[in-house]
Parts: sequence; C-alpha cells; structure tokens
Amino acid sequence: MLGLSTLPDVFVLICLGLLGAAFLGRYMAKVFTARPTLLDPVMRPVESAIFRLMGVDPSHQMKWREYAVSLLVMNLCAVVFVFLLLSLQGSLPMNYWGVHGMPWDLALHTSVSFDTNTDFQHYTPETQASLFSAIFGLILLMFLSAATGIAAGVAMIRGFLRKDSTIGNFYQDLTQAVTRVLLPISILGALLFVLAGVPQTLAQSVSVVPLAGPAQGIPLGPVAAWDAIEFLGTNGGGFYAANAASPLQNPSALTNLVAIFLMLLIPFSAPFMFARMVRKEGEGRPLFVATLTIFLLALFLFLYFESYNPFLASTGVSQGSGYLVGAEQRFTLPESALFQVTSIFTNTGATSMSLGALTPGTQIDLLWGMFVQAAPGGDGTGFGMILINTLLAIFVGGLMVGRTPEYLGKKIGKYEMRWSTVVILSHPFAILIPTAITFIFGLAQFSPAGVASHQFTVVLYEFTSESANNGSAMGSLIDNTLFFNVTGAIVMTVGRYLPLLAMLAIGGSLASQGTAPPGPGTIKTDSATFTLFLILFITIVTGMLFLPMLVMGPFAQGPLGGG
Amino acid sequence: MNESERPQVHPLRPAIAFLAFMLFWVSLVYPFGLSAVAPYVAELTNPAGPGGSVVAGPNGTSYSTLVGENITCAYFPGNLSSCPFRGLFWSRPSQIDYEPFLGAGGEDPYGPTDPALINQTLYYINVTGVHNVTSACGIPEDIVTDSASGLDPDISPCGALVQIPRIAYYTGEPQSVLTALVDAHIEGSHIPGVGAMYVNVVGLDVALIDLMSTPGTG
Repeated sequence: MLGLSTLPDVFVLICLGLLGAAFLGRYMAKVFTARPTLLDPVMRPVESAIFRLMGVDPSHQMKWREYAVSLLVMNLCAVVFVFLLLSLQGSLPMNYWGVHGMPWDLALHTSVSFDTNTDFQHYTPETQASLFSAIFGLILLMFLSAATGIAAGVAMIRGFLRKDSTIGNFYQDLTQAVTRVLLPISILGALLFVLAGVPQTLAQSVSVVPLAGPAQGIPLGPVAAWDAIEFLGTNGGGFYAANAASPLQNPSALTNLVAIFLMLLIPFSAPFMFARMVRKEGEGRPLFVATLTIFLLALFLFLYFESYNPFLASTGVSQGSGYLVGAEQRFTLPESALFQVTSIFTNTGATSMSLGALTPGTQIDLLWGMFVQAAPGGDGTGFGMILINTLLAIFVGGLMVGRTPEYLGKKIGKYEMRWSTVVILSHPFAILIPTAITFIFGLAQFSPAGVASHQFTVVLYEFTSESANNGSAMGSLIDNTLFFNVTGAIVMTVGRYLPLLAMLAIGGSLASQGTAPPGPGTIKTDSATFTLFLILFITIVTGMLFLPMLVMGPFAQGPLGGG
Repeated sequence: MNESERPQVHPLRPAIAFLAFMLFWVSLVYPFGLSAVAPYVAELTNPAGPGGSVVAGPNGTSYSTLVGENITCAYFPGNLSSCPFRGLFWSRPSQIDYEPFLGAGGEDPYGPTDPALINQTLYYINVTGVHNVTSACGIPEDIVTDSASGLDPDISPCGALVQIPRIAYYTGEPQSVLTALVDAHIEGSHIPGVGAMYVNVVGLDVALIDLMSTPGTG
C-alpha cells in the first residue's frame, strides 16, 4: 500500500468541502423558501427584470404537471437553440480555429449531452467546436442544466412541506438557482482559477517556438470561466479533450483541489438544505451519512486498486507511488483519486486521469458510482435519487417488519412506488439494451483494440455514463458515429428526464396529501439503524441489477489491482 | 406581479426570454467580464499572465510553462548520436507528440491488462536506457508510460535523475553538475503537503542549455 504521507491534504479538502456544503445547504434553504439573504439587494432587481421579460408571476404556485411542462419546454428550446448554433458554427463569428458546422448527429449528441448535464463529448473541443459555440451555447447549457436539476430537487422537497398540491414556481426556482447560487459561486471559483494560473482570455490561441521542432499552437479561451461552472454545475465537459488532465485546464495541484471543492459543494449541500426545508434537522443526517459512507468507501477502494497493477510487474517498472499510467505527474495518487472519485460519484464526469488505463478494480469502483447515481449524484438530481432510494427503502423496510410506509408524515403509496421503481429499473434498461445491440450487430470499433473484456467494459461504461448523465469515457471506443451519437442522445434523454419527471410527480403527489403525525407504526428514519439499512438497501439493489455485467467486463480482465 | 397578464402569455415566451437572459448574463457578462479583469487578477500571482503563461527561452525560442514539448529521441529514426535531443532531458511519452491541437490523443490509453501496454513500456525502458538503472529510483514509471493529457510538462525527480548518465555522455558535463541542476529544479506546489514533487522538463532543458552556453562553468 501507499505511504500515508500523501493523504492528509485529501482529507483536509473533503472536510472543507463538506463544511462548505453545510453552509451552502442552509443558505439554499433560505433562498428557496423566500427568506431574506445577503444577495437580495443585488439580485432582486435582476430577477424582477427577467420575470417581467418572461411575463410570468413568480408567486404563482404550480402543480407538478405545470412545473414539469415548463421545465421540458425550457430545456427543449435550449437544445434546439444550441443544436442550430453547433450546426451553423462554421459561418458564425469567433470561429478562429476554422471549424466546420457539426454534422446533425454530432450536433444532436452534443446539445442533448450538455442540456442533460451529461457533457459527454463525442467531438474534440480543440478542432470541432468554435469559441462562439463554447461560450454562447455550451456555457449557457452548463448553467441551465445545473439550474434545472437544482429546481427539480427543490420542488421535490417541497412535496414534504405542502398540502395544497403545489411544488413551487419553476421559473422562480430556475432563475434563483442561477442568480443566487451558480453565478456568484462560479465567479468566485473562476477568479480562484485565474489566480492559480488557469488561462482566461478571449485570444483563441497562442503560438510558441519550442526547443523541439516547429511552432507549437496552444489553444486558449475563457478556460477559468468554463472550469468554474464545469465543476460547480457537476457538468464535466472539458474545454479541452483531455479535460481536467490537461495542464492548461488544471495546471497545478492547487487548481485540482479547487475543482474537487467545487464539485463537492452542491451535491453534498442537498441533505443540509433538505433538513432545513422540512424543519427536521435529524432527517438530513441519515441521507448525508449514507451518501458519504458510500463515497468514502469508493475513495478507499480506488486508492487500494490503483496502488499497484500486478500485470505491469514483469516490466520491472517501479510502482512506488502507485500505478500511475495515464496520470499526471503534478498530482499525487490520492489527489488524482479524490478528483476522479468525486467527479464520477457526483456525476460530473470530468477526468484528470485516463479512465481506460485504470486497473480493473478501479473501473468497477467508478462504474458502481454511476450505477448508484446517488452518492451524492449530480446537482439536484442526485438528491432526487437519494430520496427515491429512501422511499423504496422505507417501503421495503416497512413490508419486512409490517409497518406503514410513511416518511416525514406523508404516506408512501402505490403512486410513489410506481414512479420510484420505474426510475430504478430504467437505468439498467437504458444501459444494457444499447450495450447488447452494440455487440450483437458489431457496431463498435476501438483504438487501440485492447482485449475483449476491456472492449465490453468500454461500451458498458459509455452507456452507463450516458444514462447516469455522467459524461466521462474510457476513451478507446470510436464514438463519433451515427449509431453512438443517436443512441447516446436517446439514452441521455431517458436517463435525465425520466428521473426528473419522477421527482416532480412524487413531489406533487406528496404535496397533495395532508400530514399525519407519526404513530407507533412509523419507521424512525433519523436513526442509525435506518442509515445502515439505507446503505445496505442501495448496495444490494445496485448489486442485483448490475453485478452480472461487471463480471463480463472488468472482473474478466485479469488481476483487479492493489497490494 | 402581473397576475392578470399570466394566462395570455405564449407558452414559449418564458423559455425564450429566459434564454435571452442567460445569454446576456452567463454567456456575455460572465466570460467576457472575467477575461477583462483576468490580467489584473493574474498579476498578483502569475507574472506570465492568463494568456497561456508563455515565457521566453534561449535562442529566440518561447514556451508555455503549462504545456510540455516533444523533447525525446524515442522514435528518432537512426542512431541516437545524431538525434538533436540526445543531450537533453526527455519528456514523458505522448500519443500526440505534445501537439495541443491534437487533444484527443490523451484519450486513447492501453487497457490495464493489454499486452500492448507491456510492449510499449518495454520499448520505452529500452530506448530511454533505464533498464540497467541501479539507483534507488528503479525504473521511474512516469518516463516510460503515457500521461493522461499527452501534454504533461513534468517528470518525477527520479525521472530526471536516471537520464543523467546519457546526458553526461553526450554533453560532457560532469554528472555532479547535472545532479545539482536537477535538484535545483525540483518543484512542488507552494503549499506544504499538497501535490507531488516534479521537474518541469522544458524549464530544466532551458537551464541546461544556458549552463552549456556559459563558458567556465562545470
């Protein structure tokens, strides 16, 4: 195993991230229950201007169907807009790199990908997207998708508070997610990145005359601004193809830590926001502890499996600092590991390592995070998945001990269970059917070819990443093809909007019932027992759904790695 | 606000208005505003500026301190003694030869149990001449395997030290001078306990070229 001397900064950072999340959660609870906050005097005028422009009354409370329709229309408009932008970018301004308009399938995949908070990139940013597309299309979608997720999460939580069937006003939630949370923190984050040496310029590139050979062109742009919302919004699409491994996007150990902090912030703030909003401090704890336990376990396993690759032993290469093939020299293994676990488990999907080079055990670890989607998951949606898992756990737990399934005074009935089950089952469907089609019809090509079990893992990873709205990739699959672009767009849409609809439907259903006082038959959900039960429930359900696929993929590749 | 107006609003109006609002704030004000203030902010900590951190090298060259260069003879056709970089520290292997506009190359690694990984590693061990290293460093992983980005500007301190015999042979500089040079270029983050120790290859090579062009040293 590794020397422990390189671990402390990683744990200090996790603590800082969680502390930040606790503060942010309380702040967000104030914002979304219309209590006064510090930013009111600055943001009120901006918000009322946009409400006037939209022609909506922010105090109008929506039922879930109206909320959902508004959400879908908004996102559909955004996808169409960015699709057109990417298709026409060849003749739009700021096309310094001389890129062409994207073919329709690639433009479809890219616009859906950034709209669904997946940010899976089948295009190469350096050669296939203009600066104009990046700024006016993709940055816009990165803010919009994160705000959409936050809005849906907040709306679902309101279901536990209300009795009049309403779950809030979508436009107000969306606007405030941008003006009160995403934009202010992004500005601070971007300034930190600039201080730490990340490029931030409107110059398209700079050319240098290196010691080695002819001129070297270095693509540039508003990288710091991009970085901040990429990580804060759990988006994860890189300004460069190498994403956070690129020394331009993530130039030092310090920027790496800032990035991790930003990724931890909103997903881990949700349980704190939830506890404040439902006014039961104890109820956030089991959700937070369960999430954090799965997360820390994953980090530990990552460090273990990545500490040594027995397969490479025959070459005599020293692996004293861990198995670092496909890692960058400026980060220690624990720093690379924390980045990667945070990025995958928050469904950000940014990469600071080559995922295809990771040991098989580490690949299992990361796939697990995307199967669960809730440890802690993406902005807003991750918490929705935690709540859906909690409802299922309460229902199953209730059946096991013969108690009435209710949560925070609301009965969990057939309607909630139907939506929850559909969400949980849609994930394997969206992953496994396209994976099977790929191999039955031999639609995948790989470069480098690799062994068969690795090929299976790469395709499994591709669709898992898309269905979980993660966006990371294992690389060797040649994925900019008609099949992978169109199938991917469908998988991402299902993986995004089905859970979002379920969150709103469940919130709406809970909001339509009165609150019953806890009786003797109510499961105590703020207890340690329930926390443990929740962790085991999530683990067992995920294992039952996905273990066979892991056996065919990473488990079959050979030694898993580690000591 | 305008309760009476609400029902008459076209269903697409809020969406289109919100997109316009976003275009203004997050696509115009946010990235452009930051770009305007970035030079002044960067001045506090990064004298090379937010434009890619380009600095001047020897003989009219220039380089970015952020990005590595393709300084290697690993794929040089012919004899090592005619390779222009035989007397310089080499960068890590790169699938894209350190060409940033070919960014995708960072994404095609060999799998962890791919026989091709062994072959590539053995090739690099052989060509860098580190197969018979006897120092405590062993065979440093970084100089014989790919980075994640293909642009990694750094190698480990060991990765630099094990190259010294070759460089001493081709440049005639004593090994003790080269070791001192490497030691002087070992960097880390300035915060204790954060980041790995590394050597910036281009920076080290620039210093080596300076050293050799200064008469009377060594």
